Amino acid sequence: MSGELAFVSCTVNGVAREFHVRAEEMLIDVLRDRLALTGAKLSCDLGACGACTVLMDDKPVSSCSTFAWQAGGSEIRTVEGLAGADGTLDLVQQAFVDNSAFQCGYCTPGMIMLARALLDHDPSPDRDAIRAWMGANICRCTGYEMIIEAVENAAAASQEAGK
Amino acid sequence: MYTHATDAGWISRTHRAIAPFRLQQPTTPSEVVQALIESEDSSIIAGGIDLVRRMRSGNSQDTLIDLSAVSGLREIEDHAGFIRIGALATHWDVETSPLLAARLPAFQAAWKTIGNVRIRMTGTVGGNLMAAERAYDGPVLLGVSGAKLVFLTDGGEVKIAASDGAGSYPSRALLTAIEIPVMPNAQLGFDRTLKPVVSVAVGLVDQDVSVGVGCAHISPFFWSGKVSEVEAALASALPEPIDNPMGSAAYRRRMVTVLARRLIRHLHEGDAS
Repeated sequence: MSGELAFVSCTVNGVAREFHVRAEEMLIDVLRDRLALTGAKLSCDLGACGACTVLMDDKPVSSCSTFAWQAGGSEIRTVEGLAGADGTLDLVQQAFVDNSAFQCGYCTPGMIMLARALLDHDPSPDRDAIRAWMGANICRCTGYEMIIEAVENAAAASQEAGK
Repeated sequence: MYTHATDAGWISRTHRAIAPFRLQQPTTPSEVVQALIESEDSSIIAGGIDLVRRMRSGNSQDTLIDLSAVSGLREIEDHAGFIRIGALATHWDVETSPLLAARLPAFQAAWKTIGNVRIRMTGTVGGNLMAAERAYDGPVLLGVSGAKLVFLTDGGEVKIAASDGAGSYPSRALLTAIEIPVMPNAQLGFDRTLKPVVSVAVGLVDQDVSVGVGCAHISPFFWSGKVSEVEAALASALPEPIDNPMGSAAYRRRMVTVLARRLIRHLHEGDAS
């Protein structure tokens, strides 16, 4: 079967998509090459740094280490799908802006998706929980304090909006 | 780094390309075993955490056998005297299991320290064991817990003590479950603060103790005996640890004893952390 194609049907940011992919093709390449969704960033290529984080059925995954066929039947969310149709930023995105929680910005899409997954799982995490969760991704220039504070503020804003 | 033009502009592509492989997607455990037998150069993929990294690093496979369509391997169940964890249970499943919280809380707390959240939500208990990485915590924790690994082979079901190590795993077999005994007076302590130099786990039942040592050797080391014998036994029975710039053999040897003694003391004092 080498060289044969696998058929993948999934949704990406709410839109139904169907692909034929090579077995060895990675999810990140499908997102970036075929859908021009370049928010997920390629960095370590080994699933270690988290710059390529997307949500697969609400679960943060390294798209550089996920075969495209593994996304079959799932719901994929990338950073491009967070903002509303009118351009209103997601609370996590807005908090990153408000807290200047990025410098070069390369890790930011992955950080934002990781934070979104956290708040989807736990709307009111304490600082220790945020630190533990966000420790999955690596930032080499911003420093983590502003990122942690952004997630704290996003959680607070989410709570406020829910009242 | 490979770059090429797309509608989104010039972008980089995966720069550690994986060699082509055949993909098989069996639906039952026995089909998995048959697929393993039919292809000498095949690997099972569950969460894929380790396999993809290895393939990224140049390890090619003729065939990948995907377990995502195999049902019945992810449950965490209470049996008479033991908890059975399906090999496809993720670390997150273990971390969030109400059953484990009630029946094996110390084990659950220790398992919660494995990896990061991306790994815990995707990686599986079975994958952690089958990867046979010397720095991994799973084999050490299961070894001192008296766990048995259940494999399905062409000849039927085979159970292996986790403390026997990866060298005893049957070939061309599917790990289906892990069985962990539940004993009311059993205690578990784990210290991974010196990883990747050394990690130590201790299982204690009254004065009987099991010590598991991770990271310090090519594969985990286990010793069982009486609490009063631990220090002398580790001094004589511990194989020569790895000696490298990360940690000398003498340092690793010394810390194995220190951490084991400390864990046993904490357990006796009622502090399992």
